[in-house]
Amino acid sequence: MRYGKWWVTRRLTFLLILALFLVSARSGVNVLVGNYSGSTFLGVIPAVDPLLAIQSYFATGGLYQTAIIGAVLVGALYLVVGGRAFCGWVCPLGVVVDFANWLSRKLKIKRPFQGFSSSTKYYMMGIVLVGATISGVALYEMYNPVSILHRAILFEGVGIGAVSWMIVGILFLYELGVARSGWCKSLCPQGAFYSTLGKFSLMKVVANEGRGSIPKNIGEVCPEPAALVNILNHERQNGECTLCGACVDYAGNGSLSFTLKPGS
Amino acid sequence: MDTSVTQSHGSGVDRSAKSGRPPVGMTTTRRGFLSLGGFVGVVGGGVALAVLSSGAEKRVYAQRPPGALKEMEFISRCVKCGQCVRACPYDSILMGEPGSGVAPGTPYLVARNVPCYMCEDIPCVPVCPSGALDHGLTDINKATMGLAVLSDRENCIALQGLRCEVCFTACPIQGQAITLEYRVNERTRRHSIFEPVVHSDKCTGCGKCEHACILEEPAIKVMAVKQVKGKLGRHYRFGWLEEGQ
Ligand code: SF4
Ligand code: SF4
Ligand code: SF4
Ligand code: SF4
Repeated sequence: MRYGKWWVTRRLTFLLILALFLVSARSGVNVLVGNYSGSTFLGVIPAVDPLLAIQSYFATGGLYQTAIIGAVLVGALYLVVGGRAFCGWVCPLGVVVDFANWLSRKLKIKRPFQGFSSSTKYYMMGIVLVGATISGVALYEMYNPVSILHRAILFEGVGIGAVSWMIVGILFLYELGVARSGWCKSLCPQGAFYSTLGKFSLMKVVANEGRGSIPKNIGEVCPEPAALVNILNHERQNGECTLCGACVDYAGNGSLSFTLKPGS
Repeated sequence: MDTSVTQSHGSGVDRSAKSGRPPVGMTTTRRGFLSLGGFVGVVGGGVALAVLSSGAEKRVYAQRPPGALKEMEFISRCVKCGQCVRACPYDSILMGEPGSGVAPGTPYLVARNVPCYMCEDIPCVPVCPSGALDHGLTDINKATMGLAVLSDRENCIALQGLRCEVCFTACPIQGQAITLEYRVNERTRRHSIFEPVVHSDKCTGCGKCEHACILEEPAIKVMAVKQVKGKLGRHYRFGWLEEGQ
């Protein structure tokens, strides 16, 4: 099934997190205040995007205690639930890109470009960190489209507006008409960071022997070809998988499943 | 290389599922990451990004919330979470957008629209998770969000001899951050001119004066301390001040 149990759970999780942010932003109830870069849960638990904290540290040589705690908590969370579970379950730009991809398929748009290789994003992450270290300015975080999007959603009207949406629009069009998974698979430094965590994380998707055959065209549902290859080959996890569960749903026979255990 | 997978793995997948063998031609590639080319690319790209970032220093000055670190450190420390924005009961704090001239995602104020009301408990500071707003600031009167300057002496109506005092009255550090200094109006010879004078050691840069100025464009404005303040240097001494010590 293309839109099975995992698809529903994943979208509901995404909506729940977004709703908590929105409610806290608009009503003054302090459930989850802030945005996906940094927030406070229930008034006490801090969360900070770890890559952002690292950039900040490289640029300024210092990091405030709350930021350290917040970044460690988030890092630990994704080490359990899967590095790029952020991409599959939380990231708002991921949803925009998914929607663009869905639309592109519906409209039968021929996308001319295969996208850059999935290792490009690691170079992007390297560039971001080296740049911050040399210049002393965490420049990327100001223009990180993931952040630009969630700031646009959550801080619309308090300084944020049209330009932010335009930047998101460019990425939407890139996915719609140019390359499938063109941003997430290949370019996003944040994705690269979570992929790195994903090499060590507990939750993962595995291929099980003797549970029936894996559909031939399963590659169509996976947004990250390098992840699917990795899983089907029974190789050591390469961290590319976004834990979206599309392949688990699509196979539907247990030949692919989530598992929560260390090692490959 | 991995980009070709979608087309090539049709039959391969099936085979692997049955035999447990990795299908031919399907390998993940990330081996080149530590290669010399990659290294040069990352360093080169980093330098390019650093060159781009150097422009950040030349950005238009923005009035920052209380306790903000020095501009360059502030924009990198701040995680751009907007928790200070939400904590401010007066909605004084805005968030920078690309193209706005303010470092994107960082909080700032436009005093002409909504100044800082200098809350006694400074709610915007303790919520900051990054320390970009210094938690050591506990007395709002010690904040330096900027420095007010009577930037247009030609249009300030007080300096033309009319009674205004609006900025003086608006200032929360009453009678200290702005004082009125009077002298004879040389034009009428019968009246006085009350000139608002800002004292940098007392002004917090809250912007209430700029907000209150009755002109269409305010004649008094809050700017960065660095933009406004001069520095004497070693060659000049104010002898009378030294004698007084
Ligand atoms: S790769 Fe980047 S943009 Fe895509 S889902 Fe992951 S974090 Fe979001
Ligand atoms: S001191 Fe009060 S009015 Fe001023 S920015 Fe902070 S919360 Fe807003
Ligand atoms: S609360 Fe601190 S880290 Fe968050 S936006 Fe404000 S200054 Fe930046
Ligand atoms: S900015 Fe204006 S109102 Fe605020 S303390 Fe300074 S002089 Fe007074």
